[in-house]
Amino acid sequence: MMRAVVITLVLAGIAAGLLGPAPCARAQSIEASAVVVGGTLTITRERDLDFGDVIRGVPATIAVGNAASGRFLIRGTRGAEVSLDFLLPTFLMVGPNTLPISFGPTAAGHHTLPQAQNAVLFDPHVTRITQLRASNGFLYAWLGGTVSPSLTQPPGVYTGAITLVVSYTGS
Amino acid sequence: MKAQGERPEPVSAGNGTTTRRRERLSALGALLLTIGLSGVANAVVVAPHAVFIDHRTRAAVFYVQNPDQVPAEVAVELVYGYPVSDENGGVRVELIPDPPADAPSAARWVRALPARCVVAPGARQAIRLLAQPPAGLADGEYWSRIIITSRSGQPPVPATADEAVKVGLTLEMRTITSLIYRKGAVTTGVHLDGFAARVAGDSLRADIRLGRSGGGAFLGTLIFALRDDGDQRVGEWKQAVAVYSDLHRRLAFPVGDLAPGRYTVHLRVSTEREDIPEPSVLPAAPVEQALALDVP
Repeated sequence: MMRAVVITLVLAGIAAGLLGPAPCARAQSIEASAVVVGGTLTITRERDLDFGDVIRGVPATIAVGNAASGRFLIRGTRGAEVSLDFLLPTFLMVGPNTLPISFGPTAAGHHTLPQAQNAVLFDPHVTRITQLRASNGFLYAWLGGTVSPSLTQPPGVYTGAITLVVSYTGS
Repeated sequence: MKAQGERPEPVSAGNGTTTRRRERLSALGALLLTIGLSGVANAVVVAPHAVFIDHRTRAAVFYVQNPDQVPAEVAVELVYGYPVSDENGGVRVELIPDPPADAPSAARWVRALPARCVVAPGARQAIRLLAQPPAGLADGEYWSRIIITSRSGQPPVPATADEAVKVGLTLEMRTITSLIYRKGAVTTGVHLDGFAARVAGDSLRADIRLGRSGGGAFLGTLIFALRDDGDQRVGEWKQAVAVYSDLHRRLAFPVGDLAPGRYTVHLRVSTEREDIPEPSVLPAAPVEQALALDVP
């Protein structure tokens, strides 16, 4: 397993052609051409939660199984147990204006395959414990939600941040 | 309430009977995705997921890689915490930003350098952890969690001047990994305070209570083996475990349709780990117990 992880990292670096040090705001890094590291944990934001344009006075809901739901891919040690937590906003903002956003008890889902229709649904306000796929260490997580614009909602791009927190439970 | 759009989630080529070949192709596809051949994804790779610092060197390095095609803003924070179990036998990482004075916290005196940075597309950033422990630090083990937050440097929806109401959500990714700082000789051990198992439906359900001895966290593996009355192995399952404080786990493993009869479930708790370098795992004597099960 350890060897596979190292190979994956090195292949990724070679393929990207960028094994050198990364530019960064504050500190320089000195890196060897090959670095032996332990297990990795990767989170990929595969797709944004996309409400598009919403209609004033009409709540808009995106379910887990909708192609507009947000989707993450988590990869790590095969079969490892992880905890999933979402940090969720209650409203979105543009300037002084707010737009309520909510997440119901089935607004999130997870599955070891990219099959939202078969996802195990859960409440994104509650920590979820699950396992990465035994064969490849993959886990997909989805997030939907509901925005509720008022009839007099001022125009603009309402923004907010949703955070997925992933942690191994075994270290 | 309006259901947004009618676009179902695309169905994957994979299914429950995915072949090994298909899995390999899937893994390759994911790797290609990871290395940035897709412009859609935004990712952060953190390695290793468990960092160990020895008092003699007082420093360690971990890596944050941005395989995406846009810059990633990365922030690193250290907070005291460790895995704890809940009343249902699950585990969550409890973060304690203001721990009591006697807590074995390394979060106050280990710094991440840089703590904030922008990782260029395709680049990898070394994050150095430098420890400045207080004078007279007692021998023992000190803990922290490393919180790595990453988000794309690009806004999700560009600003517009029209009258529409638009929603632009930023999806951030936060990875929490562990840091263990050791000074002097540190020992660990584990004891089994409770073990029960039963077969319910198509699952083997186990209830385990573990306690820790010594000054260090016990990092190991729960290994369950189910054998029939002819001592033939029916199944084996492994679960990584970290015992920082008393831990209660309820676990379920698929066994399918078991033939009626007497079975034995063996539990072995050992320091075997596939995901952590062996020198970093404190050795401890394994603990074993077996239970008889009757499947009607």
